[in-house]
Amino acid sequence: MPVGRFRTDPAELDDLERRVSARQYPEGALVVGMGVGIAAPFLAQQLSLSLLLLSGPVGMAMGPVAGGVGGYLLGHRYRQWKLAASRAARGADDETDGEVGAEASARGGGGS
Amino acid sequence: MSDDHSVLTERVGLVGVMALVVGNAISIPIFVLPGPLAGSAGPSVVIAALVAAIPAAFVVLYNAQLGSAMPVAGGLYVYISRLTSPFWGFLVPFTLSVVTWASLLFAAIGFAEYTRFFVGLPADLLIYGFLVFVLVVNLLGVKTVARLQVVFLALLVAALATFVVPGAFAVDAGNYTPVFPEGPGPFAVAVVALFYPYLGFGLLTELGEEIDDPGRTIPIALLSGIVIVAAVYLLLTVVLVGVMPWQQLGGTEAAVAVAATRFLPSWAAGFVALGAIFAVLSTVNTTLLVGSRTVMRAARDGILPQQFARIHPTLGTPHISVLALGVPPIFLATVVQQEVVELSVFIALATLTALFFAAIALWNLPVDFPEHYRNATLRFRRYRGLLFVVVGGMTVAAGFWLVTLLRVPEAGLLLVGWFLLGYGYYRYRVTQVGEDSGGLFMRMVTLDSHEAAFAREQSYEGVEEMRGEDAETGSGD
Repeated sequence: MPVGRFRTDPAELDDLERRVSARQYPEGALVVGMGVGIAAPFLAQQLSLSLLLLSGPVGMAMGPVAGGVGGYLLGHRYRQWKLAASRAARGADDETDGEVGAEASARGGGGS
Repeated sequence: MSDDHSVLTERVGLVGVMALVVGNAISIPIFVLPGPLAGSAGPSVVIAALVAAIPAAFVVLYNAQLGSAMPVAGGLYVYISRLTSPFWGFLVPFTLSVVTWASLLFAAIGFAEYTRFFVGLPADLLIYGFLVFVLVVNLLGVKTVARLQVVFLALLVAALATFVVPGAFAVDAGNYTPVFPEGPGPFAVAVVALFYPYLGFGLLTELGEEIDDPGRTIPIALLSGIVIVAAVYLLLTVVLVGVMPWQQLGGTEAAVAVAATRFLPSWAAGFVALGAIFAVLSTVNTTLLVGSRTVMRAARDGILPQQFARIHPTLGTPHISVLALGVPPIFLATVVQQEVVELSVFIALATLTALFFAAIALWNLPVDFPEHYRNATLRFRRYRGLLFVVVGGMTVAAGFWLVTLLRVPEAGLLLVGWFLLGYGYYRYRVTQVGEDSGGLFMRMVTLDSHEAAFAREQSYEGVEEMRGEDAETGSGD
């Protein structure tokens, strides 16, 4: 959910970035974090657990905000890692293809 | 955009738009909600009706700007997916389906409540009968009902006037104290619940391209509409609480009609009760129509199965979308019959979430689609008026959200749980399209394919209309 000038122009993304962006990791992690942030104080309240501020109104109000922000940041990091991993995998594939191609052409060259 | 406008064949003018917005906003909740809410919040429900207009004012401002800048059909889904991110956009049709189920159930419960004022039929029978009737009408097409919209609205206004005008002279000032008999908690819930009726203002963003001179008409209709609707809600609540002690309102079915019997002859009180039925009829079809249209738009992008975008060759309606939205309430009716306040809180919470993302969308609009923003009649300078409107709306939405969470955490959990389910489905869909997920992403963040699809749809509708005029020639296909 980048905002304003921090928002990426979709036209500038390459195919790999588009594919990773389509999975919406930060947004999904935000929802998970928010859910945890609501459920934890709610459960603490239901089970009469006094976990510091968690079971009080502050925990109830701040839980989803903290969970959402934390989830988003984690999701954002995961997306960066996933993108780097995808690029590395593609690079390795290209390298392998290149080596195979070079070997093939070398064999072809040797044969001729 | 101008090219798209040129293909439209049918447009609604200012008066028609006003009738649609006001008729859609003055709906069944006005007859159903004040009773149980007054029962818990006491006379403060009057203040709640006024405070609920604050987030509604932001909804109006956002709709006025986004709607006049980008008058596209399937509005909110398009704005949020293009201007924030695809997943948040996807949540609009995904959550709108639940909101539509809840709204239909709400209308059915209200219909049964007020019909039982006249006839002693079982509530279940009335609820099921109503839900099936609405489904069938929407499957067959709603042209006849749409033509009756103005008649229903006129009768509704007459029924409200019958209650409010004589009622103003029958109020007992003692009924307004103490203002907060149960503290601020129930008042907060009442504010959020009473925000639900203002959802009608979202209708315009769904009809954007079918409005005559949208840049001018949308802001005028929205801004004057909210004043009218807020005044009607306030007057009705003031009279309701003034003529009947709040303790009695809580446990009374068809509270507005029962309160009317205190100062009106029985035939006139019966007419007030009929007003609730007019309110149902004037709004329920637009609820299902708007919902199915948004689902249809998302299906065209490919994030929902293409079947949802399919138009029935004979009926001319998006029948699969209509069935998906109209059938589940029939099965849910027995579960949620007594939960009108909880239903409205859930609907309001989902809408507040959409309001939050609409604020971000509006902030991104001048940067992402500057040429569209230049077309908007209502514009603000980005770091002055726009910043104030955006931050104001986000703060109000977040504040209401948190207040609701403190009072009804179950509603928040349910909504976030639904979002999680939505993310699961979203990822499944992205995986399903596989290598084309980049293409899906691009369709959901740009306007090109959407505008092209809209132009095609308008051409299709134009052809269908001509076919209709040719009447039963059967030569179209």
